[in-house]
Amino acid sequence: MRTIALLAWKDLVIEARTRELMSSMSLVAFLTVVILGLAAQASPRGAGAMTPAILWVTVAFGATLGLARSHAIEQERQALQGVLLAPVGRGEVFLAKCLANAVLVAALQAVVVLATAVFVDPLAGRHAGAMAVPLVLGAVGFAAVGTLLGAMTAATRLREVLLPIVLLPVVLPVILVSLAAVARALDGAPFGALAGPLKLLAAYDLLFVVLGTWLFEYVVAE
Amino acid sequence: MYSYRVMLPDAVASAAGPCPAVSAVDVWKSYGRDRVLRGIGIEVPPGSGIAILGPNGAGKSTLLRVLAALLRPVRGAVRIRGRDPWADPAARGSIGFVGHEPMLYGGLSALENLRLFAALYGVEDPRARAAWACDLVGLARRDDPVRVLSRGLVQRAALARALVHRPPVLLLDEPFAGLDLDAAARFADYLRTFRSRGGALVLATHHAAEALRGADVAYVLVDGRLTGPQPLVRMDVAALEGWYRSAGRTGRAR
Repeated sequence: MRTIALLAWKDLVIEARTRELMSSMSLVAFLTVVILGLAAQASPRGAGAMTPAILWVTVAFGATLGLARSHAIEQERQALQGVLLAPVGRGEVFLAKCLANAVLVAALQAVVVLATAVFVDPLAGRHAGAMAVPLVLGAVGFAAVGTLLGAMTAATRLREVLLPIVLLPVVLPVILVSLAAVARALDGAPFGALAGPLKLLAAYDLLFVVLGTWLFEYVVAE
Repeated sequence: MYSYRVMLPDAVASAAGPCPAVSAVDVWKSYGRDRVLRGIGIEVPPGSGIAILGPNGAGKSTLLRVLAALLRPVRGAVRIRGRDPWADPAARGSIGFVGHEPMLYGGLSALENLRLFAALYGVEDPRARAAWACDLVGLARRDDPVRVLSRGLVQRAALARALVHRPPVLLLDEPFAGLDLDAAARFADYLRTFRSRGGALVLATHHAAEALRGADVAYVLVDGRLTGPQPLVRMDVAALEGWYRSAGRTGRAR
């Protein structure tokens, strides 16, 4: 646990100082929310019906951008190789990176919810508490898949292009289930009504975290 | 001014047993169809140092990365103090490695990097050890982010990273690159004392003069095969360069 905390701390400290990931992800997210919000206003059904979709489309694009950069930090100066030289388990290295990435994706979600509440649908702000659990569970699944695939594509020349192509299809089940739960939360459904999708989401998270922990050793082996 | 204060490697007392500190047996490594290492075999006893000489692209860096368990050989075995670093990851804790890249996080200061790595190696007081490693290599601007440091300071920080856990085995790939004359001379002094206290050293370089600074035998790596060993006792740079050239020709002729 100490190794995981140390390595995750390292990622968060670097990000807190440089704000490289959050500023780029937030800017992309903000612009996407505004464009999608304006597009949705044109619909006779209004933007409200599209709020869950706007939330997740924005998070998916912003977070993919951030995950690619998060792995680039490990490649610069071969820093990850330095960590792999130490007597620490590859699984722990994966879990630490996944934890840091999940925190970043969750922070992005908070920015997106705020922007959506301001520019698209005020209900997103009112039901932010109820949406928090499906969004955070979605962030964990997204980060788990993104961390593994990000490590796979980080060493390639086309990583920025390749990551979304391989990540989004794999992470689709997480997005769809989280989307369903967010839609129910926005409709004002009681928390008990979200139990089904939340259980499924937790199962997906567990599966992707376990798979990532197991496969990471093969991904980082040259 | 600073001085390299040598501390006994943490586990060096037990390294003086019967098994070599580093051994490679029939090691082969390929990148696709390109065979970089062909049946390499070396043994480095505790308290000794070997230099791997060879031209650019000869495979010296690949050999060191295989010994450090950063690359898995396609055939053959590597042992660090008798243990397989792939089967027993704790064996990696005995290795200090310097490669072409510093293996440090640019967004953290040198001191923070060293604290992180000391903690990953299970050092008891990472803060104190990081400061010790900085003093050891005479690292100035230790609180500045690594990304803003000059090439020479980054190299010192990389050396400090390799030494922070006081390993009994050092695998160094061109460790003098980027160091000024004073720092290089002092680091060479450190390596001599390190070996005299039981440390084992593998030094890859293409400069004969650097090989003489840290090693007591030399090998030449040509076309993936090793020629040697050549004892370096009472040998000067000119004699070593002569042997290096002739061994290189012999290696290519095989």
